[in-house]
Amino acid sequence: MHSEQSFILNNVWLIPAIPFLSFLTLGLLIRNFPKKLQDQLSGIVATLAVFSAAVLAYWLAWEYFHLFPAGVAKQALVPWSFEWLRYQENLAVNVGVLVDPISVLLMVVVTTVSSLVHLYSTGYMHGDPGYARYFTWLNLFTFSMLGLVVSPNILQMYVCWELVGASSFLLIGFYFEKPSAVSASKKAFIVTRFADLGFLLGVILLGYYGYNLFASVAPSLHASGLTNVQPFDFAFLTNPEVMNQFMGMSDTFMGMGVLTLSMVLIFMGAAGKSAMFPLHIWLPDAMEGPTPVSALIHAATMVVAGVYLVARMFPVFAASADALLVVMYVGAFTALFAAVIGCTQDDIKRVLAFSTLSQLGYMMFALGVSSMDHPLGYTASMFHLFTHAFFKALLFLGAGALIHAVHSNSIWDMGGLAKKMPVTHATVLIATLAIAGIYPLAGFFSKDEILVAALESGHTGVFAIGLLVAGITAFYMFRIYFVAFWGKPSHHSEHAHEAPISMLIPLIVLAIFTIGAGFVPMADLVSIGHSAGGHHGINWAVAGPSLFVAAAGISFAWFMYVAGGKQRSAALAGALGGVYTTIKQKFYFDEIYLFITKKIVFRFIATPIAWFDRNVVDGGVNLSGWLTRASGAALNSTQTGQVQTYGAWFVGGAVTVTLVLWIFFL
Amino acid sequence: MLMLPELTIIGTAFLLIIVDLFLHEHRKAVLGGIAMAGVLLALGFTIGMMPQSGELFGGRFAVDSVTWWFKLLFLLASLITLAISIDLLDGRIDAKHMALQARGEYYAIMLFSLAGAMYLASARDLVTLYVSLELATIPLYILTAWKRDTLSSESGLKYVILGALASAFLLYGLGLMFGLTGEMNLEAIGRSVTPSPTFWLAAAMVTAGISFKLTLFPFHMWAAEVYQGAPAPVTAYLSVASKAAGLALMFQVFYRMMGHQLMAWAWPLAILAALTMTVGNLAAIVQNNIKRFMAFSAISQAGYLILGFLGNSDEGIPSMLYYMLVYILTNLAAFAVIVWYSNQTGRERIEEYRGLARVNPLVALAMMIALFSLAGIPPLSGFVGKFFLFSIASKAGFHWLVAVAAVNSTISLYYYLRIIRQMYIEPVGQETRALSISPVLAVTLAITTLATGAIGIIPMVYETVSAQTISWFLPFIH
Repeated sequence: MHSEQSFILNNVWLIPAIPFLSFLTLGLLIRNFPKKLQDQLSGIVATLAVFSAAVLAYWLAWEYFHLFPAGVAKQALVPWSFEWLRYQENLAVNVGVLVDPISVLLMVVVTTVSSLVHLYSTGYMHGDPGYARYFTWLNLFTFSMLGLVVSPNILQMYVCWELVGASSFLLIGFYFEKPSAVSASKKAFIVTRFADLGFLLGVILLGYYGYNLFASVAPSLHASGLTNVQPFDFAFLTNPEVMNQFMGMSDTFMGMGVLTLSMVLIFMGAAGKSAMFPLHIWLPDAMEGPTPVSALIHAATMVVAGVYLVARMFPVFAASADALLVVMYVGAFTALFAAVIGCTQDDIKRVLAFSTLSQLGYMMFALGVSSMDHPLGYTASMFHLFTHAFFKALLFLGAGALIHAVHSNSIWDMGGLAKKMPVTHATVLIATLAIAGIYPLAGFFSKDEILVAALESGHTGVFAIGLLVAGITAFYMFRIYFVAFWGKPSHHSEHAHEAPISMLIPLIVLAIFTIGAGFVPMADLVSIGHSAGGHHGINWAVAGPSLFVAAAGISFAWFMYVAGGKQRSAALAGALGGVYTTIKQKFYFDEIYLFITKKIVFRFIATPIAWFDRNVVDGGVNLSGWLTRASGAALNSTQTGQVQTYGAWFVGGAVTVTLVLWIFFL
Repeated sequence: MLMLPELTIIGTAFLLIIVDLFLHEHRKAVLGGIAMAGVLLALGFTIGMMPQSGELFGGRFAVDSVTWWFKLLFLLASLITLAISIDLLDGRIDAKHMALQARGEYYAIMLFSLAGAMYLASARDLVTLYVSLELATIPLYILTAWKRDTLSSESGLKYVILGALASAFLLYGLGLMFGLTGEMNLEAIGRSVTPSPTFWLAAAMVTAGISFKLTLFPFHMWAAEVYQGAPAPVTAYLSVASKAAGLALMFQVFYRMMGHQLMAWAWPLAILAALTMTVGNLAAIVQNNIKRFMAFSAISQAGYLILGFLGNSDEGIPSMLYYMLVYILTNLAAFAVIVWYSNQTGRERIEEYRGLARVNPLVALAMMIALFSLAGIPPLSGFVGKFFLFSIASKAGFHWLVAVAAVNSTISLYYYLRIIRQMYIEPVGQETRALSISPVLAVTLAITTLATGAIGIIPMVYETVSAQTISWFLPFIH
């Protein structure tokens, strides 16, 4: 192995370990320092830690893709692991790091965005009373996300999955004195936890059947060079022989085979984390967190964990065609659904949140349309994940700069900021063009590849949705762009000025990434399955229409919001009437959920259970407590203090023992 | 040479009496040091000689692995008890009315009792067994009445009367055993005895005598008043050393003399255990005096302890010895706090521990750890000890008894928490102030508390006990 000489390949664990150590330093040590020193140190320590992790991640990517250059089958390496739990001979769980194309890709994305967000936050959060706490949680998140990305088995991934959920909860509720932030953090946690219940059930199912298979399959796995493999390892679960055995199982549940059922359950977890319809309701509310947090967690990294999970287990999903169909339909529907809502929102962060939902839908259905024989969608999905991370983080950080300047989230309070904030304007324009899919920016290439994959797979309907959503995306993104930068200045935006340099550097860096990321030869780096095929170039038969709808969307936005002013958009909203209101109210999904939980679950299930608990259970407990005390008091009254009594008990006891012995020895 | 630890203890006791005569009053503080040094020396001899086996005086005095462990337990219990007695006897206390007199005799008499317990573990014939038992017990009557106030004298007298009754039962039982077999040697009796009505009577009388020492129901009644009336360090000694002596006696009788009938004993012992732990726990709930409370707590602990006799699993012996070790350390940690609190304030009621955690947080923490260990909260050693005992009962098929024991543990948690609630949750009383703690007591408390946590986590302790004693009883049951 070449990797023996490479320092970084043997020490990949450093990449998650550095943010973790920094998290511990901040959380245990620096928090005890005086406030002023605490603030000075925490930002520097946290940012440096993540930057050094980023440097290592780039080094790793360099080494790894040189070890396996284009055209060479890329091996998944586990350069470092140790046994964490051993239940039985055939059931153990390791903790380790997995190095393969998608984990390297994600490490690069996570550390890049995270380090830039850290840098940005030193300016954005300046003077906040919770400054040190903020960086502590941000480091915890970075560690958890990296741990999730490098998980070689599904159990470690589940643990880190919950850790990112917990850090997301902590950061959404960062302004915990605001009731809306608290309820948003609770909502995010509860919805994703509910989804994770499915994930856990899926893990347990897979673990149970995998463990049953393990003894019979292990010898041939060992023979094929997979030594030290455990039932929960991805290497085991995605092994063709194991999947064949899974497929052959006759156990079914509600008409679904074991494999399909567990994959659907695992996808439930993925859908929760990636906010797929109908579990999308938490993500718009999660915008209550500080804006850099939205950029890092709720746009670029954590929300793609669901996509990553599906990609990680892609061979298994592919083996169970039904589960993959679910992925495709849910993804495509979410892409359309969220894009439509995005057109009507006034809060800039909410528009971006719905656009994130929509783009995640793209990634999901890209996975859904691919198969082991036609894996273009897999590559396209990872490509889009890669490019989206940069331009969406840039959009959020740009939005943060705007909010910082005008102290309002509403796009109508902004306006005329193009001249006042030139750098922000330029970078946000680049990102907006990228997400709209304009050549030659990053979004164009990845979106084009997704659409090609959808068309080639034969799912024409999904392709049509993808094309339509591309147009809608261009419309709503330029809607906020025109209103915020070109519109009439409001009294909020009159005194706006450009953001400090620490916030501008990340914007510029991300803008460079947004321009350049599209030229990364992703097909050479990330691929799966049989056709290793090189870069297929731009398919103008698809790119042409997609560019056309993007241009149409932009023109319509210009027509509505620049040429027409406020009256024309108001007139259109009035003409649409109820339809507009329904969309603006996000199809009333929050209200439907509230109705189900409050009116049905609480009233007909929770209230009776609570009554039973208060009266029957507590009553029983109180009764047993009362009985115990009463018998204690009764027993205490036998302690008369009289020696005669005690003597009588003694003699009586001896006689009883004699009788008892008589009975038992007879 | 095998008797070196016992001889050291007796020598120290006589030395104390003689030196006491010639010392000026203000020099007498040295006596406590001499006593502890003697016990430490004996402890050193014991650790140096264990686990070799051998015998003296034609087999009347013998040592083997279990014997050494018992001696180790007695010496450890005495050492810690001496350490928590010293302040009271030297008068380094704030509550002057609690003071005890005549420290030379106090130490000497405690050491005589210790020597008796050690001989008890080594005795191999009926006479030696009985004489050493009396040597262990009679000094305790004296120590109980040491304070000579109403309560102390009354409890001493009750203890003598009931102790004499128990002794009489035991002696009659042993006499009948001799009559049945014509043998004096314990193992010879075990080999030749056969079940008969007389044997049942003898067994029941011996059991009554043992149960008195171990405070098993319904022979436990004396404990409440004696524990309450005796000076606090004596109560501590009674609750651990005397109980360990009872266990040693039970080992002698049940394994050496009745080992062949052990399986038939399972049900009567299970009933005895269930009743003892239930009665002890229920009565403990309603107690207000902390020493009386500890009496019932100790009664319930004895109920758990004898679970180790069930079945013929070879892990019973190490489980009981380990639990005794845990119990000694834990209970003495709790008693160190009780002794200290009564030394400094003269208070013994549970409500009077109110707010202790605010004024003496470390002491309250130690008390809480000790009480949690007694209740069996993981990862403290009390949990590990209980776990082993419960698993013995489970292996012997007594699942109902494990359920009873588990329910009892829950009840016990309730009353242990009562004290913790007083210390941590109830507001501080008006005139409560931080109390000083002497170095000896502080060190003792620290060591016992740390040990309470440590020996539950470090597997070496149980493994050593187990490795040395696991097959000890095989000769007696086959």
